[in-house]
Amino acid sequence: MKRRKFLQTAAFAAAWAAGQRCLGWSLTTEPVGGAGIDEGSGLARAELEKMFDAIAAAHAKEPFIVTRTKWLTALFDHVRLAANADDAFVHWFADCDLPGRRCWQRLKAFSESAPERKLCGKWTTATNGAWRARLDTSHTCPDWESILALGPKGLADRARKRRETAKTDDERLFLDCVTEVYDALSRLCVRWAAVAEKRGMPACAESLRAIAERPPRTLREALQLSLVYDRGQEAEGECVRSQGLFDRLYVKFYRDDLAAGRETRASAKALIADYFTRLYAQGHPNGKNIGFGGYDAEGVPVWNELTELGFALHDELNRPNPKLTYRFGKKTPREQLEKVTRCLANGRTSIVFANEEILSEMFRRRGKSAEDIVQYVLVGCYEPGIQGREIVASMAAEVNLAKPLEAVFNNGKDFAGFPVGPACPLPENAEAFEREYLRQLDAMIGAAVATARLCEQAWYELNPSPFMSGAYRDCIAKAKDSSQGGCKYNQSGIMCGGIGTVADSLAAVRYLVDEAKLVTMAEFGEVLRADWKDREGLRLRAVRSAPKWGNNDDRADLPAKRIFDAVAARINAEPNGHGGTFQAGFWSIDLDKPFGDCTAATPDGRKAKTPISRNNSATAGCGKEGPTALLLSNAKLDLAESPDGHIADVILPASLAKASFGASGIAAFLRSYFEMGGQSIHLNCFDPSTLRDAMAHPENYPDLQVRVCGWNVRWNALSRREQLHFLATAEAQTGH
Amino acid sequence: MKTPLMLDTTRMAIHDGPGLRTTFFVKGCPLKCRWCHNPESISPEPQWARFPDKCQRHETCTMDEAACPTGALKLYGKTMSIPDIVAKAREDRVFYEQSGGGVTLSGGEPLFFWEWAVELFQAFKAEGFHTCLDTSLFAPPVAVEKMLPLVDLWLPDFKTEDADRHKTHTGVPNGLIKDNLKLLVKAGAKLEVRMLIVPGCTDGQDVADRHRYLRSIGIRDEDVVELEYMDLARSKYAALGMPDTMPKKPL
Repeated sequence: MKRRKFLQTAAFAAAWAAGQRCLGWSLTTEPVGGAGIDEGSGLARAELEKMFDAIAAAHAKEPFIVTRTKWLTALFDHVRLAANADDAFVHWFADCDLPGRRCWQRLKAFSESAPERKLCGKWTTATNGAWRARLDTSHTCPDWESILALGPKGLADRARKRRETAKTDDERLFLDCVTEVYDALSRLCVRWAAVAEKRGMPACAESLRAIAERPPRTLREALQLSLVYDRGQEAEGECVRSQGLFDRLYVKFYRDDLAAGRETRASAKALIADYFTRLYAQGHPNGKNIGFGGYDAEGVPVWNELTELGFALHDELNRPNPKLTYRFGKKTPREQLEKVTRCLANGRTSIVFANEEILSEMFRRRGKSAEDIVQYVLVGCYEPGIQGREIVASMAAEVNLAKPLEAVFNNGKDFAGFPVGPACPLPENAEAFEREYLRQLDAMIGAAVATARLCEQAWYELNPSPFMSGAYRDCIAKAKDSSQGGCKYNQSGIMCGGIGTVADSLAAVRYLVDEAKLVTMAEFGEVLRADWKDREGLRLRAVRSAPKWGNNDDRADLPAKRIFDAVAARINAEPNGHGGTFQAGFWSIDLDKPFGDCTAATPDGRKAKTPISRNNSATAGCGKEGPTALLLSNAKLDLAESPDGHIADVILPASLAKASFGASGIAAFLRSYFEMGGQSIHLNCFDPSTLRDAMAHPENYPDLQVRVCGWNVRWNALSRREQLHFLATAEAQTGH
Repeated sequence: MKTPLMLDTTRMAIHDGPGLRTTFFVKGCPLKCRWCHNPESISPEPQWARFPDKCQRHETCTMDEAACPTGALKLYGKTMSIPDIVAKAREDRVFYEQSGGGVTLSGGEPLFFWEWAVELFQAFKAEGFHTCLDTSLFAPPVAVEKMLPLVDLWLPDFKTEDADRHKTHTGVPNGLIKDNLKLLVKAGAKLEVRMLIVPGCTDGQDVADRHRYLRSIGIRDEDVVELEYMDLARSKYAALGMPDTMPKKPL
């Protein structure tokens, strides 16, 4: 009750909105818990700003990592802290955006400082929606094993000890910075304990004092440390996008607590429920991913008390966030998988499923060791990475695969005149068109990759991360920041969206120009430039009669495969800017709309400024053959060559979910995809009739969730345009 | 051999037998049930449908389904060879294997084309598919006998036990259907008998009578499923230019 009252205050709304804005997030999910800031526990924002300015001035001549360390230390020592008596844990403090915000200002200044840097972080103006490259600081999976094994003090001590054998000034500087921020984190825990004590949270206060001094020993301490670390890293400016393999990281604490009588199963469950709630309360619109299941080092599927509890809670809480990953493979017993799919049958769809066999093969091909592979997680939405051994950075660049279609018709430029690739004559037929498309795409990827590399080469200068790097065991062993290649693996991802639109367009060119001869290539370019004006009949032919990706039709699927192979081969071989390689990802998240807004009409019948295809789905309204065909199309791709992730987005009819075999039917559907070589998959389970009713009577559907493209939201939080887009896709996929 | 036109294919069907299935619908049925929710499946001939709520009566209309800007035109009934059907079924094999599913033939009335159905099911069995047959059983006993070794699960409709009522509402008597049901029981065929309950036609005592009859010929209650009637096909009657005979469903 107390919490609800607080949530209605203007102070909370302002604090919430400020935090969201500064981290570049929009307020699309509703918070359920929150700040509860203790005004007397620290300095006001203006005073902190002054302190930050003074630090920046005092250390202007030193490497930026010094300033960054001092900022973070000042924040930990002086920020105002939050605690709520209704909660089991503390998780939030004021002004956590300050250091990150200042780093983004540095990146902005960087991109404006020299001609060759001007494309970094730009979008519609610089590349006209073709691609964007930037520093990706929003996709990380911390080294949770080190954090939980050592605690803040142990992490500081580890860096201190390593300093004794450091060889260079740079190494010593990095290790000093790590020591300083983790010493400050211990002090933060002590300060936070006092606020928790004052707010009537004695158990929480005790756990905070404990983790200030030593590694966690109980489940409560371990979960509290996870939340403190999470806040610390996000305050530094990097989003934590995987809470790690939950059932492996915490089961020892759980078992020890039960054995010692410190917790019962019910009280431990309540703690985990509050931990989930704290993550939900952060309001991150794209969610926090928590891993479960998978094979252990002996190849045995992991299913323990916490796997069971995690999914039981997901079912009970019915929240879009945290979102869960379930890793399974051929060896996973059916009953385990069906305990997870039961959540989906109940409408709890904030779960992504990852294929043990394909992802293991994918990691092997990328040179990752067997012992590391068993520790993989999905970071952010569905980007694979090794927990604690790499940052992931899955969105170093975003590529709009549909954009080069314009350039093929327009001599290497899009219809607005922006250059995409080399000059080219108009192709005579579909085969030449595809060849030229790939040439334009290759040039476009080359530009995106070069710019992403440029950003990463300046990473240390722009955004060193002593806090995040200080937890990674490999960064300490190498005495290097993660931005300098300190992690064991240093890949970064280039995500590519719109494969459906491109495959459909190549198939439509073949059908309309070569086969049906309804239009010449030259006319077709003019038709598209004019956005199908006065050619509605031709457009409908393209939409209704040309083959479509996602229907298990080779006429569209094989072009998709050729594009996939070319993109993967190109990107996966490119060195990045911090000691690793780039890696190709095939997904769009919700960039299908901004990509579409920047893309002219396409040969598949799509009109200008409408969304392109989302993730690896069929174009909205064109998946007429249903979910099995969509998976068959995707399974034609070699998904072990998509190391930055590949997701199958599926809408299942609610009747399947509700049928007596709902959980087992869904499980069979998922197993089928993985059997064929699928990488990751997530599902929506609803009927279009439900969505239509929810549009007409939103008041009756406060809890209806939909999986947008890697995260869930409440239906009522979507815009009308997004709702209509969902409805069209659902109608095509479910056939009514 | 009579070869049917095909109406539709439903992939990932979940109500036409166990597991995930592909269901093929033939066009053509000797019955004319008042409540038929697939009126386009009655005639064995191809039929154009024009959905009036969508049709804008364009002057340039060429009666071309693909070019119709509003999707108002639809041609029911397309040719599909047995190899084409088997190839389509084969696409989803992995889903059948993982779910215990398979293929289902529905309609229309598949046994209206029983010799063709035998050939098709032989091809299905050659692929190792689990097979279901959705049928009214209004067919010569020889059709049932020939299909017996090829059908893993029969999904017969039992519309009413009363002979007069059956004739009134479906246009045919039910003696043959009852004989075929007994034949299936005698042969030990695996059954899931469907009983549609149509308000004002086959509800109330009719349901009790059907259950009693099925028990009397040796069909177990657990092999009988009652289905709720939905009057959602009216627009199709209008689009096909057929009189709407569907009973109203009380609110």
